[in-house]
Amino acid sequence: MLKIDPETTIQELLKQHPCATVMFIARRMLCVGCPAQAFHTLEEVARIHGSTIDDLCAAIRDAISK
Amino acid sequence: MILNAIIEDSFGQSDFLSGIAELHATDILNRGNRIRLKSGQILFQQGDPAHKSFLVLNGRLKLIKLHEEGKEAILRYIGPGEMTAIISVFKEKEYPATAETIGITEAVGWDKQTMVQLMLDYPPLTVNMLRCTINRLDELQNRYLENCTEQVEQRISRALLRIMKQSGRRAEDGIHIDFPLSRQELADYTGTTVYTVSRILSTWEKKGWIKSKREQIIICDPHSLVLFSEHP
Repeated sequence: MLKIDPETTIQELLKQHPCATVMFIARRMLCVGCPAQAFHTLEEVARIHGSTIDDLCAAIRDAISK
Repeated sequence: MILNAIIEDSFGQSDFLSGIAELHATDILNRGNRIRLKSGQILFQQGDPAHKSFLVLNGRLKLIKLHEEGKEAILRYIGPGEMTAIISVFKEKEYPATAETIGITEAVGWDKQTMVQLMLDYPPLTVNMLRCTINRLDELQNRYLENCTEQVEQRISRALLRIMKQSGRRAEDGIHIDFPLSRQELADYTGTTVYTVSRILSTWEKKGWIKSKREQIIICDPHSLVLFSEHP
């Protein structure tokens, strides 16, 4: 299983896995193109948008594997 | 070589030198003139003949335009790895604004002839400069539209977010805007008054979105600020 570090920033994640963009958009998360992209980690973003980090990572893994 | 260290330290990700081999980047920088200024010094003055374009190596520039009745507008901040005065030098006109340093600032300047030669010698440089210019234009168009059509609160929130994106530094209590930014400067940057800026910043501080003391602004809740700027 692909390991995703919750401390990764959105910017880093999208650089490594551009296909994860689709997931953010589908979930109506404003992360793509957000000014805080370089600062917010996955952990924070999960909290802010009301999901758990496990849930978010699972969704990211799912988007990457497609 | 000291120059290489500067290239590495200041802007490993510089748009200006992206995709250019270190050897070539060193040549490009060496063919300009290095200048070192203290804080609050003027690099170039509005109205002076524009002889040189500049790349900021470290430190920061504030571009101020004076208009009638002595009012100041802040056009933009230029940080490490960013260029300024490209257009005025190419057009052989005057500098349209004054560049003042914030903190100790080091820059490299090239005259038009040298820049043209460098662009012929290193085509990737030309591509980078074109990209930078297009991004600037894009930003200016957006800001112009904001000025015409949007409420002042949205303009200020977008301005803060823009500055945060450009010069933000992550810390425990939020994202710090990494240089002194006064309410007056924020007003000059967004085309409003210091009273309006103070009133709005106080409201946001009460909501916990920002913290501000003297000239330091910390964005505690970027998400709320982003939502606010997108949906008035």
